[in-house]
Amino acid sequence: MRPLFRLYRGVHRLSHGLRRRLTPLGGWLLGGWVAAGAFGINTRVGMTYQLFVLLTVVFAVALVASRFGGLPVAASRRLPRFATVGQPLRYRLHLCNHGIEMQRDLTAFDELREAPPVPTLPQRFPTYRQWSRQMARARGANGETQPLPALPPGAVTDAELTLTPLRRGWLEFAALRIGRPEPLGLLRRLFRQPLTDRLLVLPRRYPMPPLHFRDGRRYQRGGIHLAQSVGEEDEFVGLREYRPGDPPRRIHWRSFAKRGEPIVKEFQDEFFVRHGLLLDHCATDADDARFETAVSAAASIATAERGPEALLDLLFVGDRAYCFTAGRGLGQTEPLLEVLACVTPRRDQPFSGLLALLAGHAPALSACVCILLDWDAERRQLLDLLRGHGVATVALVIGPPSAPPPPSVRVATAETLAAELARLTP
Amino acid sequence: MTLVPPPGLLAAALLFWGWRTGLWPLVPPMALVLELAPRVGWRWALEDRELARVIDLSTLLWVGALILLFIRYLNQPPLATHLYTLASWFPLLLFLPLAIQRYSAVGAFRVGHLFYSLRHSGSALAWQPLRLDTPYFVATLLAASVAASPDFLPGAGLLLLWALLATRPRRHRWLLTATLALAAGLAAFPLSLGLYRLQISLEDQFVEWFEDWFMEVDPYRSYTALGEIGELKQSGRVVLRLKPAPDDPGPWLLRDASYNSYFDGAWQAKGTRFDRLASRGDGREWTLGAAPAGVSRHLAITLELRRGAGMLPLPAGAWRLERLPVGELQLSNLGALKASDGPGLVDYRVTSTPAATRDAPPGELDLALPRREQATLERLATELGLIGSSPPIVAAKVKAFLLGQFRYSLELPAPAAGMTALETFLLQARAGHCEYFASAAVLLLRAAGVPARYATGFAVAEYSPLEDAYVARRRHAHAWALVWLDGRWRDFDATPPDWTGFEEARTPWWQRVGDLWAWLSHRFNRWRWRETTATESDNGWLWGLAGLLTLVLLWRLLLRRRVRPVPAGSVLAVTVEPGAESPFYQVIADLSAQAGARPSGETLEAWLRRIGAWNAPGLADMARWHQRWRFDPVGLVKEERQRLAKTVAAWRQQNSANGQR
Repeated sequence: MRPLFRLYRGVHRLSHGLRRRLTPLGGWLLGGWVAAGAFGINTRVGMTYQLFVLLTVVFAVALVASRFGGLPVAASRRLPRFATVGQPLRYRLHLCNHGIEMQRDLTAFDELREAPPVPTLPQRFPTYRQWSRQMARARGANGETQPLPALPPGAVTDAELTLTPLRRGWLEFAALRIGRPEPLGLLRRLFRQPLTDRLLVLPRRYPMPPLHFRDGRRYQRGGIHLAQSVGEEDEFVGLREYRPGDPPRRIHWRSFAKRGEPIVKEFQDEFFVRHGLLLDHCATDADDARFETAVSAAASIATAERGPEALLDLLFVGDRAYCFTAGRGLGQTEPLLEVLACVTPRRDQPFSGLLALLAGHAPALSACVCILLDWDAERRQLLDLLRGHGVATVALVIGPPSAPPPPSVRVATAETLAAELARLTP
Repeated sequence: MTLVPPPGLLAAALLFWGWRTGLWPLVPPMALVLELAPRVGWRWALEDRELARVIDLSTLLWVGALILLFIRYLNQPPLATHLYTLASWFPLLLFLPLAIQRYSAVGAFRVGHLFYSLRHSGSALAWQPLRLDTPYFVATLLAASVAASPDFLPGAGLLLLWALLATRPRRHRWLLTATLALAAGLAAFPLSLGLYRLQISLEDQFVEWFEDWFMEVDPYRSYTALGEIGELKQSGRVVLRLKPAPDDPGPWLLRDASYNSYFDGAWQAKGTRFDRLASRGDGREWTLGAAPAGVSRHLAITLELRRGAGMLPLPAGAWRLERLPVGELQLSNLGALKASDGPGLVDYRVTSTPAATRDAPPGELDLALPRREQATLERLATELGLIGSSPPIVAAKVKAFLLGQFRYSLELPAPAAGMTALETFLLQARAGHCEYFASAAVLLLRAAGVPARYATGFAVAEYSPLEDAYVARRRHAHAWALVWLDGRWRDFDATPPDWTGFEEARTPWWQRVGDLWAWLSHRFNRWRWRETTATESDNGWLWGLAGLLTLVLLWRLLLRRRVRPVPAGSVLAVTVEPGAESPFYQVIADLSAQAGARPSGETLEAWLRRIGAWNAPGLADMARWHQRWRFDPVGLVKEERQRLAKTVAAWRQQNSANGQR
């Protein structure tokens, strides 16, 4: 680790450790202790050194006093299934006091596990603030020390804790720390309860108008097996005479018995509305922020209203090409959001993988929303491919792009994404 | 978790501070303002922007205090004294924001107010509330501790005990908290005494160690440290300014000390005795001896005195000093003049006459030769034919020898094997700087039986057009000999006269800039010390500025709207609705009485249209003004409000008349 980061880590640990362990009065008195140490460096001038000694002894007594006694409180978390980036997550902490004493003035905070690997910073010499923000993102959430209610002996109660997720993906809880102040009210002793939990944080989403494309239904190749569940209601068209090559399982036995010659059931080909949502995986710069914005855009579009009849295919390239479908009984939007919560940019996979994936899907699509991370010849080719199949296409480039796209392609940044999505229409 | 000190604690801390620092006249109003806050029934409805301005004003006060103390530091170092003064002002400097906090409806600042970078930030840290009560208590304790008077620990301990008891966690009994706090307080007594003694012991040990290691390796910093030539010679800093009489061409040798005993590269002033001089006239005139006969010369010398004390450089034959506002002046038997209790800058006038002398007549020490160099010096004196010559001839021969066969050099070569530094200079190197020349001259004169002394001071020859004065820089520090000729001490400078050229050649290119800065600084100091030693009166403008700012603040506060505080717990935040005093509400009330109240969910305009009032003359305009007052961030200007009030009054009059008909 670079010495600068080592220094930042040391400062961070010290400041966080102090903030967790000191009460407000303790914090101010510690500041006074430092100032008294500076002003009292020369004991011949003034009596500040006496204040320094007094505060030193008071803190020493507080430190010793805080070591006595245990905390007979058991806790467990009641977490929801999902949280959303930037939205405060409120969850309940189930507390039980097994002791014979009233427990007051307790505080609690969650210890989060850092997500491996630690993300790299784009700056060579980041400031402490930038570094600190990045580390908070790596941990996944910003949680402050929060007060707990008074717990009479034997009491079982619930407390509400708040946490603000800062990134999507899994949020790993390593432990719960409960702080209890000592008799002087300067320090808190922290009791660690190894409560491990995990929670999926979904991408940030923005409100969007409904996406109703004008293009109609398309023949779904291989749609027979889908037709049972998602095809048209009247897929059974009628009966006809047997032709060589008809599968025997289509023989209508009752008619066969009545007519004395084989009669088979005839089915209509499957046509229905299928939308594509294509997420570009080839980030051009080292900064992941652009990809995060793209994922937010994809999540917003995935949750936008698209009519009860439409299917939505989420197309992207991870370690291989993926297509997840939702709608019409095949799955709801929720699994798509779960997928989007965990998707990562792949710089090692070429953009051509996405082209190949789309080439297979394009004939089945009625419309497609493409979320691109840049604008170049390959991406132009992708849009041409879609339009060549007559697929109504909306393209949104998360900018700024390296080349100016045509006017039909929209450009959005992290700041303008909400506005761009709000006016995104087919 | 908010932390509010118990009632009376801040007042007690302020009393303690006032008692210890002597600023007790300020305490009653300050304590009253702070402690009355919970008892008054009104609060200022200050907005976030105005609270930020209070912090800005407070920052200005801090900056003003720092500037004031920096000015004081420039004239009277050391810095630590002024930092302690600043610490003792903490309760004064923090009082304004605390008082505003206590009388504001919000009751707290926020962290964003303290930092410009966070002021408009939406981060959670920026909006974290910040109450100044506890830091004020801690700062007051710190300020009280700065005063040197004893009995700090019991008072501070009691105040801290009070604070700890009042804010103790409720799960612990007060007796436990009190016992622990008292135990800590009692332990602090012997420990603080121990810390005090530890520092004294460490200081003694450090001084011993320092003397052991450093006093041996620097031959020019021994007992003759008054001159401090060896180390500081190259500095171009201007240390004194000289204005001669128009007919006096210079150059001048200004002596600040002389020494009579040489040993191993160091000159000592043995048998030195300082006598206090008595001032005359207005206390700024001093006479060093009886007025001698002969033509007097006058010089004006400007000199900065560190901490108001120092050696005064004087020309030979100086006998009277004027315009010298120092508390004490002492003259040594070797002619050194020491001033103390003076201002940071003195501008004195020296009268000198060649016949006058302030040095004691020669004694045995003025003929003594150092044992190590004695043989060399005597052999050299014999070789030069000094023995048996008359003193003027000896002096001339010595000068000719040194000026003719030696050259000036700033390099300090290592002494040759088996020789001292002085012997190396005399026999081998034949090059050195002024201290070598002066030491050699003194000792050769003595070897020839002529009493001589070693003198240090400044050679002033550089004229500065910028300052219109002759200036002496640190590198102009010089050493020369005093020789006893014809019954008086005379300056005897045997250093080659081109030595100043050597020094000038090493002038760095940035010296011009440094000179300009030094001149500006000097002008400032002259203005600062324009009146003898007055210190407090010069700060009047700063106090005046602070007072003016405070008056402006008070004026603005008096103009503020006051609100009644809502009992604690009933609401979380006070919100002030703009446009609440709009007179259009009366129109709405009248119309509601006539056509039924506006249902919730119906806009004002829709309601007015529905009940058919919208098209009444002027009503639509009134409604628009009303809405602008309520919802436009700019609101209505005074004239528009007046116009709305007039229109409403006219409409109501008309409406009531119609109603009566």
